[in-house]
Amino acid sequence: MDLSDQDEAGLGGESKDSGPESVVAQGIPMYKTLLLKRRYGMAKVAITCNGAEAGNVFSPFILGSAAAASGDEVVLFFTPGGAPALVKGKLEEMREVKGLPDLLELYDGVQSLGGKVYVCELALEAKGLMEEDFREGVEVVGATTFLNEIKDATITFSF
Amino acid sequence: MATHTLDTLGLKCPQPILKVAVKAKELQPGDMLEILADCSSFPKDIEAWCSKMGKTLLFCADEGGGKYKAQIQF
Repeated sequence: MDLSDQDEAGLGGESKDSGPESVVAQGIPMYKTLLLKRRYGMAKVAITCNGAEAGNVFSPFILGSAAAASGDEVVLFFTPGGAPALVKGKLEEMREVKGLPDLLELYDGVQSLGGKVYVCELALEAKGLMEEDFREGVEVVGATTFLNEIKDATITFSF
Repeated sequence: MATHTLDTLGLKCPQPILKVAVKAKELQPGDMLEILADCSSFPKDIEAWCSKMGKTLLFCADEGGGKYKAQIQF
């Protein structure tokens, strides 16, 4: 670890800007978790998926789960074109492709490591879907929410 | 201190690393994790994971027949 980075980060010292809002659950102040992330080179990764075929869907989950496994914050966003893949039972249909990892395990991996799986709200009307049609763990959000969440993402992909 | 083993034989990238990451959540500092894998990208991937996560990769040995055995100190 680079000590100059530690000094700059102020870890172990008093922080003047750690107001009550910067304290998160588990009692770890937000500024410390952010600094720890930076120290270990963690990134925020944003991936959009624009199609519901296996060719579109595997890559977001392969890269997303690999990133989440390495401590990165992962946000997947399925546009109306990609949304049907997240309807209950659809991942199961394309689960097994020769030579590729198990799609369901990747999905569960992303979820269990804190990754977020968003579906664009526009998909509801565009594809005739309801929120409860989507599999567990999927959240329906608007574009503004997604963009606000990924404004500091340094790695982005689109499939 | 405890030694845990993780069998990822037959799993494709990035599943072995994913299993390691999920397993890591239940390990304590000082614990050892031994991993069996036969994914060809595993040696480089586990080295990258350990380096990024600040864990010590004690070794990653080629066991022959496309199999690898790695040990990580948590």
